[in-house]
Amino acid sequence: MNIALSILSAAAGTLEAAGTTEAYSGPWENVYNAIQSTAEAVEDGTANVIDRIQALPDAHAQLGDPDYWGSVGIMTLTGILVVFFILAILIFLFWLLGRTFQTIDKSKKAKAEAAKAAAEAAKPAAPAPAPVEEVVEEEDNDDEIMAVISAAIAAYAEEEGTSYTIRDVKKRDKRARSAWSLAGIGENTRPF
Amino acid sequence: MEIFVDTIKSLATGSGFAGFGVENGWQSIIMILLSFVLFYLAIKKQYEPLLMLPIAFGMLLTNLPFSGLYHAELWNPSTNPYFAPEYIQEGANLLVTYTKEVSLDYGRVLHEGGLLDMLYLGVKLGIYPPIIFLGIGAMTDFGPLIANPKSFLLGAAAQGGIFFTFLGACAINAIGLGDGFTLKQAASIAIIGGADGPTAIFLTSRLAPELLGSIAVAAYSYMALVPVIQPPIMKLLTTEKERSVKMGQLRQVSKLEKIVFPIAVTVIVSLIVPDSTSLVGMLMLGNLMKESGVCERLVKTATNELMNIITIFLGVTVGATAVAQNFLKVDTLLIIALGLLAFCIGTACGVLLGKLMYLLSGGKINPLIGSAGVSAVPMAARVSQKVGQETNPSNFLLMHAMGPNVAGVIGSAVAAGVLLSVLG
Repeated sequence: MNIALSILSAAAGTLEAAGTTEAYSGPWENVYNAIQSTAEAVEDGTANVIDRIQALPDAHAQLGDPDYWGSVGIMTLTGILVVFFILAILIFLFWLLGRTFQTIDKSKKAKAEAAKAAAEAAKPAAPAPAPVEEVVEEEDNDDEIMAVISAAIAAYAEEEGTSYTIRDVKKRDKRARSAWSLAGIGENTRPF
Repeated sequence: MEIFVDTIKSLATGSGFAGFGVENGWQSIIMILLSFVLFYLAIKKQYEPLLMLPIAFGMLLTNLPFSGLYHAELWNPSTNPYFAPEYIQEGANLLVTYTKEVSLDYGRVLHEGGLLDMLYLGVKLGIYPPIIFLGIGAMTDFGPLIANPKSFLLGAAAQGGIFFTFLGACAINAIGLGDGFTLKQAASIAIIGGADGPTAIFLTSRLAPELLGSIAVAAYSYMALVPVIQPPIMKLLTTEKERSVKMGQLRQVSKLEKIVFPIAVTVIVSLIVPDSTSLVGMLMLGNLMKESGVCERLVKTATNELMNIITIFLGVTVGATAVAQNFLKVDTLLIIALGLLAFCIGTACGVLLGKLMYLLSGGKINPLIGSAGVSAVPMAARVSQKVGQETNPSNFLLMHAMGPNVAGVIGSAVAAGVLLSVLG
């Protein structure tokens, strides 16, 4: 508690240092007075135990102070709590900010998609692409993925002027990675 | 002939070799040998060589007798009593009384100081660490942290190492090992657990400058040893199932969010803990320059030339503070032991909170990313990645670990600010 009070007293000190030594009047008057009176209480009373301990010449003298362990314990606890408190505020703020931006993004995307759909509907239907002959032998028959692979190969074949046939598509071991991916990981974990 | 002998004599007595013969001169020899060990660690083992090498060289220079580059006594306030005048009006007479006040005499430093004394002003006045932070900010991508703000919690948890080690350093007094540590010294040792060199130097130069050399050497050594220290603790505290958790892809962060982030963090952190403003403020200035995309030239300077210049100055002067009478003590060994403890506790705290988040999220968060909260960017995040991939080769935790990692930088700066405001 004493530490919390000394922090308050430090806050009051900052206010004074900011040139508000004269009686402050304004919208924050009550807050200022509250801090000021607490700070005075701190100076008069048992507070600033830490300052008292620190004024002792060496570690052994400090250890001999009856309030030593109490202050050390409270400082440890206050320190952890203050760090968590500040970072918790930041979490809340950026969670809120993230949500806001995501909502804005979504509404923008929805608008863009609506506009695109409207434009597509206005256009006449495009001619169907020429069929490409393929023989697919595969264990799990995932038509959609097959279609994508066929389309990609068809596009490639068209460019090269040769025809391709898919004979076999096998699922790779999920634990394996492509050469590029491995190179990326290698780069990122180089010191090991 | 006599003149010749006299000249040789005066040369001999004025040489550094004679300095080794004076009382405690042997200590300088040990320090020089120690600097050779650091050279080995920096060059052969590549332990943070960019800093370790200048630190080792600073240590070598300062311990060469009569080199006069650095004077530890100039920086000891107790040897520089300042007599503050006090004027009292007694009738028509004005009486002046002088009260002895212990403070640093910068005038004396400027008059009598050597090269490294001048450069050390940048450490003593708290200039170099914030400038290094400027460069770090300009190199850091806070995107993973913005995409997953919960990472802040892991960055905060890993700072537990600092505060528990503070408790540990105070406990050393009770055991009675060494000379004992004052509260300020205990806090400076504890900040090693923040795994952040500039922050450790910043806080120590304010609270316990006499320990700067040993704390900097311990901090940078352990940062280099993160890949050795962390994995056993991470494996000990997690099960294989937890380690193999794959985390979902992070969302895309917009440019506007990245611009708002540094401004908001500066305002909030500085209002709550004003003492951390210089570190957090400069870190965020660097980041804003990068994210705004309009200060490319400044970003280039901050991340390259400026940072390199300051790194040289910082390293060599911090090394210079490691003079024999400050360094060759049982306390240095205790600092090295406590620093290791700080790292271990920080890692454990991060992983344990990661475990808690794993449980609360229903197994969506891999607890390994918690250990990255100790800062040491990007080494600690890479360790999370490596340990995760050992368990499940297709797991890719690096970007997820970068969130707690950069949160740890903010967390340790905040922790330093808290310690400074209470003890400074």
